[in-house]
Amino acid sequence: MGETKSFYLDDVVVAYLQTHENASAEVNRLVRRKIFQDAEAAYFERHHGSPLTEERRERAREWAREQLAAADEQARASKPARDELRRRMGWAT
Amino acid sequence: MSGPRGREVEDLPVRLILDASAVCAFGRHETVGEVIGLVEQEDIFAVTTACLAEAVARGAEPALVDLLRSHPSCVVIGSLADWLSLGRFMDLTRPGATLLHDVADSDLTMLAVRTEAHILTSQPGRYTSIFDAVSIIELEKPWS
Repeated sequence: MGETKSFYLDDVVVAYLQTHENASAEVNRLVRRKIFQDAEAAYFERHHGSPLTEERRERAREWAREQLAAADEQARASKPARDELRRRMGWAT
Repeated sequence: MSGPRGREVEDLPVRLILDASAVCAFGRHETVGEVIGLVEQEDIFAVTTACLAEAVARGAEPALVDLLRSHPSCVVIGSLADWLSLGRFMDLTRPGATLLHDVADSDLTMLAVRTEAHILTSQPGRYTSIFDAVSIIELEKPWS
Protein backbone atom coordinates (compact mmCIF):
# COMPACT_ATOMS: atom_id res chain seq x y z
CA MET A 1 0.00 0.00 0.00
CA GLY A 2 1.47 3.33 -1.06
CA GLU A 3 1.96 6.36 1.12
CA THR A 4 -0.03 9.52 0.37
CA LYS A 5 1.63 12.86 0.90
CA SER A 6 -0.27 16.12 0.62
CA PHE A 7 1.13 19.59 0.76
CA TYR A 8 0.06 23.18 0.42
CA LEU A 9 1.62 25.54 -2.10
CA ASP A 10 1.82 29.18 -1.14
CA ASP A 11 0.79 31.74 -3.77
CA VAL A 12 4.42 32.85 -4.21
CA VAL A 13 5.40 29.24 -4.93
CA VAL A 14 2.62 28.92 -7.50
CA ALA A 15 3.80 32.19 -9.09
CA TYR A 16 7.39 30.84 -9.13
CA LEU A 17 6.30 27.59 -10.77
CA GLN A 18 4.36 29.49 -13.41
CA THR A 19 7.68 30.94 -14.62
CA HIS A 20 8.91 27.41 -15.44
CA GLU A 21 8.32 25.80 -18.83
CA ASN A 22 8.06 22.42 -17.12
CA ALA A 23 6.52 23.11 -13.74
CA SER A 24 5.74 19.45 -13.00
CA ALA A 25 9.42 18.52 -13.41
CA GLU A 26 10.37 21.37 -11.09
CA VAL A 27 7.82 20.22 -8.50
CA ASN A 28 9.18 16.69 -8.81
CA ARG A 29 12.74 17.97 -8.29
CA LEU A 30 11.74 20.01 -5.22
CA VAL A 31 9.78 17.15 -3.66
CA ARG A 32 12.64 14.70 -4.20
CA ARG A 33 15.05 17.24 -2.75
CA LYS A 34 12.84 17.50 0.35
CA ILE A 35 12.66 13.71 0.75
CA PHE A 36 16.47 13.57 0.40
CA GLN A 37 16.98 16.32 2.99
CA ASP A 38 14.53 14.69 5.44
CA ALA A 39 16.32 11.33 5.21
CA GLU A 40 19.70 13.04 5.67
CA ALA A 41 18.36 14.95 8.70
CA ALA A 42 16.93 11.76 10.25
CA TYR A 43 20.31 10.02 9.95
CA PHE A 44 22.10 13.11 11.32
CA GLU A 45 19.83 13.09 14.40
CA ARG A 46 20.34 9.35 14.96
CA HIS A 47 24.11 9.76 14.64
CA HIS A 48 24.56 12.92 16.77
CA GLY A 49 21.55 12.71 19.08
CA SER A 50 20.56 16.26 18.16
CA PRO A 51 18.52 17.57 15.22
CA LEU A 52 19.96 19.09 12.06
CA THR A 53 18.66 22.61 12.50
CA GLU A 54 17.93 25.13 9.75
CA GLU A 55 20.61 27.34 11.30
CA ARG A 56 23.23 24.60 10.84
CA ARG A 57 22.03 24.03 7.30
CA GLU A 58 22.29 27.74 6.50
CA ARG A 59 25.85 27.89 7.86
CA ALA A 60 26.75 24.81 5.83
CA ARG A 61 25.13 26.31 2.72
CA GLU A 62 27.21 29.46 3.12
CA TRP A 63 30.36 27.36 3.56
CA ALA A 64 29.44 25.34 0.47
CA ARG A 65 28.90 28.51 -1.63
CA GLU A 66 32.30 29.87 -0.58
CA GLN A 67 34.08 26.56 -1.23
CA LEU A 68 32.51 26.09 -4.66
CA ALA A 69 33.36 29.66 -5.69
CA ALA A 70 36.96 29.28 -4.47
CA ALA A 71 37.32 25.91 -6.20
CA ASP A 72 35.94 27.36 -9.47
CA GLU A 73 38.46 30.20 -9.24
CA GLN A 74 41.38 27.86 -8.51
CA ALA A 75 40.27 25.53 -11.28
CA ARG A 76 40.35 28.42 -13.77
CA ALA A 77 43.90 29.27 -12.67
CA SER A 78 45.16 25.70 -13.00
CA LYS A 79 43.31 24.90 -16.24
CA PRO A 80 46.43 25.15 -18.46
CA ALA A 81 48.07 22.28 -16.53
CA ARG A 82 44.96 20.12 -16.85
CA ASP A 83 44.61 21.01 -20.51
CA GLU A 84 48.18 19.84 -21.12
CA LEU A 85 47.45 16.49 -19.45
CA ARG A 86 44.18 16.23 -21.36
CA ARG A 87 46.05 16.89 -24.61
CA ARG A 88 48.58 14.16 -23.77
CA MET A 89 45.68 11.81 -23.00
CA GLY A 90 44.18 12.59 -26.40
CA TRP A 91 41.06 14.21 -24.97
CA ALA A 92 39.53 17.39 -26.36
CA THR A 93 40.68 20.58 -24.58
CA MET B 1 27.07 -2.45 -12.94
CA SER B 2 27.49 -0.58 -16.13
CA GLY B 3 27.66 3.20 -16.10
CA PRO B 4 28.83 5.87 -18.49
CA ARG B 5 32.34 5.37 -19.77
CA GLY B 6 34.93 6.91 -22.05
CA ARG B 7 33.62 9.81 -24.11
CA GLU B 8 30.18 9.42 -22.50
CA VAL B 9 31.78 10.58 -19.24
CA GLU B 10 33.28 13.67 -20.87
CA ASP B 11 29.83 14.73 -22.03
CA LEU B 12 28.30 14.61 -18.55
CA PRO B 13 27.87 17.97 -16.74
CA VAL B 14 29.67 16.65 -13.65
CA ARG B 15 30.71 19.46 -11.33
CA LEU B 16 31.49 17.45 -8.21
CA ILE B 17 32.86 14.00 -7.40
CA LEU B 18 32.48 12.52 -3.91
CA ASP B 19 35.34 10.30 -2.78
CA ALA B 20 34.99 7.66 -0.04
CA SER B 21 35.63 10.15 2.76
CA ALA B 22 32.87 12.42 1.44
CA VAL B 23 30.46 9.49 1.11
CA CYS B 24 31.28 8.55 4.74
CA ALA B 25 30.71 12.16 5.85
CA PHE B 26 27.31 12.36 4.17
CA GLY B 27 24.63 12.35 6.89
CA ARG B 28 27.23 12.96 9.59
CA HIS B 29 28.12 16.48 8.53
CA GLU B 30 25.62 18.82 6.95
CA THR B 31 28.09 20.38 4.52
CA VAL B 32 28.02 17.38 2.15
CA GLY B 33 24.26 17.63 1.60
CA GLU B 34 24.46 21.39 1.14
CA VAL B 35 27.25 21.17 -1.45
CA ILE B 36 25.11 18.63 -3.31
CA GLY B 37 22.12 20.98 -2.97
CA LEU B 38 24.01 23.78 -4.70
CA VAL B 39 25.46 21.58 -7.44
CA GLU B 40 22.17 19.86 -8.31
CA GLN B 41 20.55 23.14 -9.35
CA GLU B 42 22.42 23.10 -12.68
CA ASP B 43 24.83 20.15 -12.75
CA ILE B 44 25.24 16.60 -11.53
CA PHE B 45 27.59 14.93 -9.07
CA ALA B 46 29.34 11.59 -9.40
CA VAL B 47 30.52 8.73 -7.23
CA THR B 48 32.57 5.76 -8.35
CA THR B 49 31.87 2.17 -7.41
CA ALA B 50 35.33 1.87 -5.81
CA CYS B 51 34.58 4.85 -3.55
CA LEU B 52 31.21 3.40 -2.58
CA ALA B 53 32.88 0.12 -1.66
CA GLU B 54 35.60 1.88 0.35
CA ALA B 55 32.99 3.99 2.14
CA VAL B 56 31.03 0.90 3.17
CA ALA B 57 34.26 -0.75 4.38
CA ARG B 58 34.97 2.40 6.43
CA GLY B 59 31.59 2.22 8.16
CA ALA B 60 29.20 4.17 5.93
CA GLU B 61 25.62 2.99 6.44
CA PRO B 62 24.48 1.11 3.31
CA ALA B 63 20.99 2.70 3.49
CA LEU B 64 22.56 6.15 3.39
CA VAL B 65 24.81 5.14 0.50
CA ASP B 66 21.67 3.97 -1.30
CA LEU B 67 20.01 7.31 -0.62
CA LEU B 68 23.00 9.08 -2.17
CA ARG B 69 23.03 6.78 -5.21
CA SER B 70 19.33 7.31 -5.77
CA HIS B 71 19.61 11.09 -5.84
CA PRO B 72 18.30 12.26 -9.24
CA SER B 73 21.47 14.31 -9.82
CA CYS B 74 23.86 11.49 -8.92
CA VAL B 75 25.63 9.40 -11.52
CA VAL B 76 27.42 6.22 -10.43
CA ILE B 77 30.48 5.49 -12.53
CA GLY B 78 31.89 1.99 -12.69
CA SER B 79 35.51 2.08 -11.55
CA LEU B 80 38.14 0.83 -13.96
CA ALA B 81 35.59 0.67 -16.78
CA ASP B 82 37.93 2.66 -19.03
CA TRP B 83 40.99 0.62 -18.07
CA LEU B 84 42.90 1.48 -21.21
CA SER B 85 42.74 5.24 -20.59
CA LEU B 86 43.49 4.62 -16.92
CA GLY B 87 46.64 2.71 -17.83
CA ARG B 88 47.79 5.61 -19.99
CA PHE B 89 46.90 8.10 -17.22
CA MET B 90 48.83 6.10 -14.59
CA ASP B 91 51.82 5.93 -16.90
CA LEU B 92 51.77 9.72 -17.46
CA THR B 93 51.41 10.48 -13.73
CA ARG B 94 53.72 7.78 -12.34
CA PRO B 95 55.85 8.96 -9.37
CA GLY B 96 58.95 7.08 -10.52
CA ALA B 97 60.25 4.83 -13.26
CA THR B 98 59.23 1.67 -11.37
CA LEU B 99 56.42 3.14 -9.26
CA LEU B 100 52.70 3.66 -9.78
CA HIS B 101 50.02 5.45 -7.79
CA ASP B 102 47.03 3.62 -6.28
CA VAL B 103 44.71 2.39 -9.03
CA ALA B 104 41.38 3.54 -7.52
CA ASP B 105 42.76 6.97 -6.55
CA SER B 106 44.19 7.36 -10.05
CA ASP B 107 40.81 6.41 -11.52
CA LEU B 108 39.08 9.12 -9.47
CA THR B 109 41.73 11.71 -10.34
CA MET B 110 41.42 10.83 -14.03
CA LEU B 111 37.63 11.24 -13.81
CA ALA B 112 38.06 14.70 -12.25
CA VAL B 113 40.51 15.80 -14.96
CA ARG B 114 38.34 14.36 -17.71
CA THR B 115 35.12 16.05 -16.54
CA GLU B 116 36.71 19.25 -15.10
CA ALA B 117 34.96 18.47 -11.80
CA HIS B 118 36.00 19.19 -8.22
CA ILE B 119 36.72 16.29 -5.85
CA LEU B 120 35.02 16.62 -2.44
CA THR B 121 37.29 14.92 0.10
CA SER B 122 38.86 15.10 3.54
CA GLN B 123 42.04 13.60 2.09
CA PRO B 124 43.21 15.94 -0.71
CA GLY B 125 46.72 14.48 -0.75
CA ARG B 126 45.44 11.20 -2.17
CA TYR B 127 44.64 13.03 -5.42
CA THR B 128 46.99 16.04 -5.50
CA SER B 129 49.93 13.64 -5.08
CA ILE B 130 48.87 12.06 -8.36
CA PHE B 131 48.25 15.30 -10.25
CA ASP B 132 48.65 18.60 -8.41
CA ALA B 133 46.36 20.60 -10.72
CA VAL B 134 43.32 18.45 -9.92
CA SER B 135 40.56 20.56 -8.37
CA ILE B 136 39.74 19.81 -4.72
CA ILE B 137 37.19 20.95 -2.16
CA GLU B 138 38.44 19.91 1.26
CA LEU B 139 35.81 18.89 3.80
CA GLU B 140 35.98 20.59 7.17
CA LYS B 141 36.75 18.44 10.19
CA PRO B 142 35.62 17.19 12.60
CA TRP B 143 32.18 15.91 11.64
CA SER B 144 31.89 12.75 13.71
